[in-house]
Parts: sequence; structure tokens; C-alpha cells
Amino acid sequence: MKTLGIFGDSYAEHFSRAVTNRNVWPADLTVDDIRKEYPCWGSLLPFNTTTHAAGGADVQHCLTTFLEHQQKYDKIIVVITHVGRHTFNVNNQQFKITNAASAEQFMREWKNDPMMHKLLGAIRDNMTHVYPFTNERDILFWELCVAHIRQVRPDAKFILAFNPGDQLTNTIKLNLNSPMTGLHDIYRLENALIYGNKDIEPFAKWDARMGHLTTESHLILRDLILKQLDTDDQWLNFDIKEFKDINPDINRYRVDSFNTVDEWIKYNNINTGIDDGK
Amino acid sequence: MNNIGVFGDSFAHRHYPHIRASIDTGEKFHQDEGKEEFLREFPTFMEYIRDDNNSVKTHGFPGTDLLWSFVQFEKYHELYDTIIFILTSDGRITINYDWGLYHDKISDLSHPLTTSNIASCKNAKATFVNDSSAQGVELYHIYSGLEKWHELCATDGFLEREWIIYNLIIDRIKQIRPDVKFIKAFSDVPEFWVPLDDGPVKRETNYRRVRKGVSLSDIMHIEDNIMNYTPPAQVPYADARQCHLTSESHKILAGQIKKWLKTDELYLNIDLKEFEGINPDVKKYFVSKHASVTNWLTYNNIIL
Repeated sequence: MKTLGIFGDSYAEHFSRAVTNRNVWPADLTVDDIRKEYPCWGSLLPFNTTTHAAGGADVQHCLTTFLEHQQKYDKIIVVITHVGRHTFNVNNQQFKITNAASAEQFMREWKNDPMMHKLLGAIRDNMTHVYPFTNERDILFWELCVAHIRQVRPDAKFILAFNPGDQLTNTIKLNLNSPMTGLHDIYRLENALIYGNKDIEPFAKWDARMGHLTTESHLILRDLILKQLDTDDQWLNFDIKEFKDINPDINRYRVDSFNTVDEWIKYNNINTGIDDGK
Repeated sequence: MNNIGVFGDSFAHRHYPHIRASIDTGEKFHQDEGKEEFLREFPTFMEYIRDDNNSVKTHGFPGTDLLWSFVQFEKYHELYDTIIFILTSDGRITINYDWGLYHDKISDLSHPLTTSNIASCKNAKATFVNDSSAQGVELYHIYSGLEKWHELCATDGFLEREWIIYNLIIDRIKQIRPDVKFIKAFSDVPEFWVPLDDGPVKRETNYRRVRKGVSLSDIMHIEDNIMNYTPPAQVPYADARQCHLTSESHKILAGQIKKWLKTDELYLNIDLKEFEGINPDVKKYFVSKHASVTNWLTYNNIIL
């Protein structure tokens, strides 16, 4: 079986926000238990698949993990994340910061560590006063990362996590002939179906969607990606209408539909107790 | 005619020392005065290369980062048969600020806002600390933010991103123009390492700066040692060297560049020994050796 390496952010990660809320879950419930019941597009593809994606990762993470691992795989898929995302690695801590408010949040969490608090304050001040003038810098970095991945692996396939309109102002455009639709568009479409509002940000710890998407959407994505792999197209270019007819079971994806987590586990027939090896 | 385009930072940029030095002394000179005179009396490697067979034009600007120079390169490289790209330091940030609106109320983005270290941010902040205009306040905050940016560059996680950008840009330049010729402005580069998994958690950064290759700043340091002169702190703009170098060094540098342009070598391997024998006149290159800028101009036969 051919091997597939996946790189990118949470849209390429076989993980859900609800799974991160492990402290309220039964001790014998493992991540793999949930993964079996909730596949994602990566695990549905007919390859020996490994994902190196990480939630909140920036384009630098995509590039560095790609460079470290790409040679292990016959096929490569890279889910390229938001141009404005910055993941800072400071003293073995990772801070996923997209704006001044998220830096402020981290400052509150680290208020008792003067050095880290100062560093995070510096990041916040940069986000407030410098980054509004450095869009070009971020965009160039984004483009250079994509171009470098292409140079190293001309066979690599790319998927946009966020569409260009979500990422950029009207005056700045990406220069890579990238598609106009990203995986985040599917997430928003699903939000309208599951939460009644496409612009809602679901309460994270009860959102059981893997990689932010329902299994129904993952199945459609799998088929679209399989078709793309047989073409010379570098970007997965899809029409959001492909997903409009999915009819997800809301109870399956909203843990908060139940009084307890156990009820949700029972509803979904999730078998517990298998060691996930982590 | 071989058209040579030069890109880079202050090592590729001519300045007019009487304008800068007059900031220290309070003397008034017109912005456009003396360009031809300075070209004649203070030639750089660009003037020494320029001849009947070679034209030279520079797009360099002082203090700029590599990204800014790369954007100029993308815009203009097709105009030239030969590209000389002077690679600045990695720890810089340049932003496109509309200085035209600030100075003249007319948009002008031709002069970027640049900082190369914490000290330059502090100096700039001091300029705007008492400026209560909307743009003055904005500039104060921008320089404060940039000061923090340079502080962050002392952390490995932040600097690593900048170092990746830096190297990706160099790769991209080579892709666009495989015939490009690079000259290093600075010799030190960051070297990163990964802490051992079972090692203690380190609070300090996991990188150090190491010397790699020879650069234009090494020539400047040789000159500094030869001239052995430090201008008084109250005249920070006393140094009149063009592109940070004396014309004596520029002449030698131009000779090395001319030979190098005929080779396939990507980087100029500067032979520093050739510069050790120069004997520059300190009074020519430092305005602070004179009672006024006007006196210094007279000493250099520059009549405005």
C-alpha cells in the first residue's frame, strides 16, 4: 500500500475539539476509540496515511514538518493554513496567536511568570501596532513556503484551509492561482446545519467534529481528493455546493445534546478501553 | 552596454552627508544640493564599476530588511543584465509607512520605515514622544512595537521564523534570476539547535550567532581600526563614508567585483587582505573633525 503524508493545521488533524476536553471523559475512553467512529478524510483515503498536522499550526509549522518528514511518503497532501496565523515557540511552549486578543489571553494565563508575561506582551504589542503594516510580509512568507514545498515535492497536492476572502483584505491578493474555496467554508456551512448559524463559533469542548467537519463531509472530501490525486491539479478546487445536501445527525456532533458524556458515548456506540498507544 | 542593477541596504545606498550632518549642527542645506559633487569626491564601488561598457543603478535603501529589497528586485530585476544583490542582516524589519502623509499631507510610500535594532527604535521613539498629532502618536506606537519585535528576535522561536523567511527569499531570488550575484553585508548568522529530550528545560534561547564567510561590514571594521577615530556621541551623523566605506576601499572592492562578475561564483569572496593597506584621510570622512559642515565641505572641495 502506498504511503501518504499529510501536513497542515487542524483541518488535517484527526482530532476534535471535544476530544481535548478529556478531563470530563471516562478514563477508559481513548482517542482511538473516538477516531474509529469518527473518521476524517485522511483516514478514509486508501493509503497508509500519517498526519503531521497540528491544530492552530501556522504555515511555518506546515513547512518545517514537511521538510522533516516528506521523504517518507509516496504521496503528499498539504493543508495550507491562514496567512495571518503566527505560532510562536518560546521556551518549549507553543502559543497559537492570531491577533492581539489571543495574545492577551495568553498573558492572563502566564501572569505569574514575569519573563513569559513580558514576551507575550511584546507579541501583543506587535500584533496591535506592527502587524497591521506587515501584511505583505506574512503573505510573502506564505507564498514562499508554498513555493518551496512545490520545489521540493512537485507532486505535492494542496488544500486551502481558509479561502482568500477570509484571509486577506481586498487590496492584497495571493499570487498562486489558489482556489477560492477552503475547508473552513465547509465548516461554516455545517455550522448553519448543526447550530443554525454559519458564523457561530461552537462551544469548543462539546463540538465532536473531527478536523472541524462531519463524517458526511469527510466522505465527500475523500472522493474529491481521490479525483484530484489522479490529475495534475496542485490545488483542490471544489464547489461548496457539493456539501450542501449533507444531512448530519446533530446529536452525533454535539456532545452538549446529552446530559452526560456517557449518554453521548452510548448513543454513538463508541467502544471504550482500547489502548491508543499514546 | 551591460546594465547592472544593485539591490540591498545602506551598503548599496549613497547618502548626502551634509544633509545628515546638518541635523547635528543645525546648519541648513537644500535636499538636492551637491549630488554630482559627492559622486565626484566620494565615489563608491558603483562609480568605479561604471564605465563605457557598464551602467550601474542602485535600488538600495538604508536600514531595510531583505524582504523590502526582494520586493524591489521583483519589480525591477528585468531591467538589468546583471544583478548584484547585497544581503543584509536577518534581524531587521521594514514596513511600508506613508511618510508623505506625515510630512507633506501627500501620500508617498517611496521611503519605507526601517529599524535594524532596539537602539534605532528607541531613538525613533524619542523623536515622536512629544508629537501629539494622530500620526505622531501612531508612529510612537509603531516604533514601540518594533522595539518589542527586536526584543522578540532574541528568542529562538521567533528568530527561527525570520531565519526561514530570510533563506526562502534567497532561494526565491536564485530561482527568479539564476545569474544573480550575492554580496554579504554582514557575516554573522544564527545557528539553532534542538535541546535534548531528556535535558533540563532551558530558559535561555537555543541559538547563538556565528561567523560565516566574509562581508562588507568586515571591510568597515578594518577601516575603523586603521582610522582609529570615534566621533563624539553628540554628532551621530559625523561619518561621511558612502555605503559605510571609504573611497579607497570602494576602489579595491570594485576591482574584486569586476573580476568576480566574470566568474560563476554566486557569492563574492572578499579578500580582506587587500584592504589592510589603505590609508584614508580621517578629516575627509568625518564631519566632526571640522568646526562646521561648511568647513568640511570646503575641505573636500565641494562647493554647493
